Amino acid sequence: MYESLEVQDYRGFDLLRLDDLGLVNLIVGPNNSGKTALLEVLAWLTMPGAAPMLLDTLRGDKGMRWVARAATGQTVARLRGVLRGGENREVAIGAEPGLRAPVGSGVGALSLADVQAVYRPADGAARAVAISGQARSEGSIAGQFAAAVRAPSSEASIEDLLRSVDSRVRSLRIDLTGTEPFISVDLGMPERLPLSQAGQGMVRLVSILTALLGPKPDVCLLDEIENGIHYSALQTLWEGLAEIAERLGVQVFATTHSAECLAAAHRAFAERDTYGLRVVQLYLVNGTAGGRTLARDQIEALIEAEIEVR
Amino acid sequence: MAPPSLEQCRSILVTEGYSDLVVMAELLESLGIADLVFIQQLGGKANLRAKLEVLLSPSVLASKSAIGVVVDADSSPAATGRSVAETLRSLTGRNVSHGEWSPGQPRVGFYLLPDAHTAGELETLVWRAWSSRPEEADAAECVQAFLGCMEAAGRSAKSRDKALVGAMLSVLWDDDPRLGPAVRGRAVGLNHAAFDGLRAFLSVL
Repeated sequence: MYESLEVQDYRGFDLLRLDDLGLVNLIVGPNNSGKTALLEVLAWLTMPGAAPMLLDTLRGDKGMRWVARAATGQTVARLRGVLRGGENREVAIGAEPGLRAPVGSGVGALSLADVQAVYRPADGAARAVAISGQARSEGSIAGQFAAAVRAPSSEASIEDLLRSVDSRVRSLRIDLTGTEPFISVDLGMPERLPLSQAGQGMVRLVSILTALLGPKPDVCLLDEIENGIHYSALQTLWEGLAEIAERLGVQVFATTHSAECLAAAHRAFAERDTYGLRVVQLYLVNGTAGGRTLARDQIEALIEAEIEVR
Repeated sequence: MAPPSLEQCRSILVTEGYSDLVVMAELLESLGIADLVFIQQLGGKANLRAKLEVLLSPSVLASKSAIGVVVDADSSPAATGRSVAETLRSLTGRNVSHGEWSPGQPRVGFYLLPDAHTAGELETLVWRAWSSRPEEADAAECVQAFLGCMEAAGRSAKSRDKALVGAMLSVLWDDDPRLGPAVRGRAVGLNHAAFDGLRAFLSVL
C-alpha cells in the first residue's frame, strides 16, 4: 500500500508530494488539475511493464509522447512511491538522450516508440487494474463476470460482498436473451431479475468487483467513479467499495467531479470501524498542478461547510 | 441573480454561518463590491481551523487579492482573537490582528464582532444600531423589559444580545425560521393536548 508519492515533471505536475495516503483515496480537483494523470503515475509505479495498456484504458489515447512535462523530449519525468514497510518504487520516463540507459541490477526498462522508461524494482511484483468511467455494455460486464467466477471462491466472494451491501442478494448467474449475455440476480423473488434492475450502484459495483477478483490487484485505479450513477446509488457503491478494499487488501485511487460522491464516500467510511478514506485535493497554481491529502477532520470540514474542492 | 463563484471573485470573506453571510452580502452590496467578493460560510465556528485549512488551498492563496474572516468574539474577545490570529498565521504565514490587513498578496485580515474589546456577536451590533435610534427608544425599552421579565421567571438567554434581537424581530419581521429547528431541538415540546387534533389528523397519512 502506497503511503506517499512524489511526482516530478509528469504532465502538468512540476513537483507534487502526497503523504498520508489511505486505503481508499478519492482524487478531486478542477478540470486539468491532473486527476487522471495521477492515476497514470500510479499505473507506472505499480506495474510499469503494463503501464501503456493501463494508460490506454484510463485516457483512451496513446499519448505517451507527452507524459514528461516539457513536450521537447528532453525532460525526464521522475516518479517515486513509498510503500508501507518502506519499500521504494521509482520510475523515470522520457526520451533519449534525456533518459540514460538502466545501470545496475534490479532495474527494468521499457522501450516504446516515443519514450523510454526505466524502473526499480524490476520484478513488477505488484499488480494494478484500471477501470474507466465510460459506460460498459451489459454483455461486456457479463463476460468479465464469467471470467472472474471461474474460481468458485471468487463467485462466493462476489455474492458475499454484494450481500454486505444488499442483504437480498442470494446469487448471480449469467443469463441470455437472444445472443446477448447478461447477469441476473436472485433477490429471493419468484424469478431472477436482470442485474440492471437492482440499481445502477449495484451494476457498477459488480463491474468493479469482477475486475478486481479476476486479476487480484494490489492497486485499483478508477477514473470518474460516479459516471452513469444516480447520486442516490452512490452510497451503495461506496459501502461496497469500502468492503472490497478492506477484504481484498486493494488500495483504491478514484477520481470524481461530484460533491455528492465525496459526501457518500465519507458517510460510507464514517460508519466503519476504521476510517480508511483520504481525499487527494488537486489544484492549479499559476498553471502548474499541485495537491495535498485531506484526512478525516478536513474531509468533515469541507462537507460541513460545503467548501468547493472539485 | 446568482452569487459570484469563487473563481470569479478577487477576494474571499469567511463568515461563521448563513445569517452572517446574508448580512455581510448586504454590507458588501452597500459598498458596491458584492460582485468582487466570494462569501464562504463555515456552518459554525466549531472546527474552524480545519475548515479554513481546506478553504485556503495553495491555489486560493495564490489567486486571491484578499482573504477576510469575520467571527463573533463570543464570551472572550481576547481568546477568540488570539485563536483566529494564530490559525491565520499558521495557514497563510501572515501576522494579523483585529481590524487590520496584512501587506502582500493576498492581504489577510480578521474582524471580531462586535469589536476586539467587547464580548458579543453580530447581534450586538444590530441591537446597538436599532436601539440607539431615537424613534425606537420606547420599543427598545419594551424589549428590554420583556427579557427582564423572562429572567425574573427563571428563563435567561444564553446570549442576551441574540435574545434582544430575536424579541425585536418577533414583532418587526413575521417570518421566523427558528421555529422548526427549535421544535426539532426539543426547545418546544409537541407532546401536549394542544396538538391532539393535528396529531390525530396526521396519523391517518
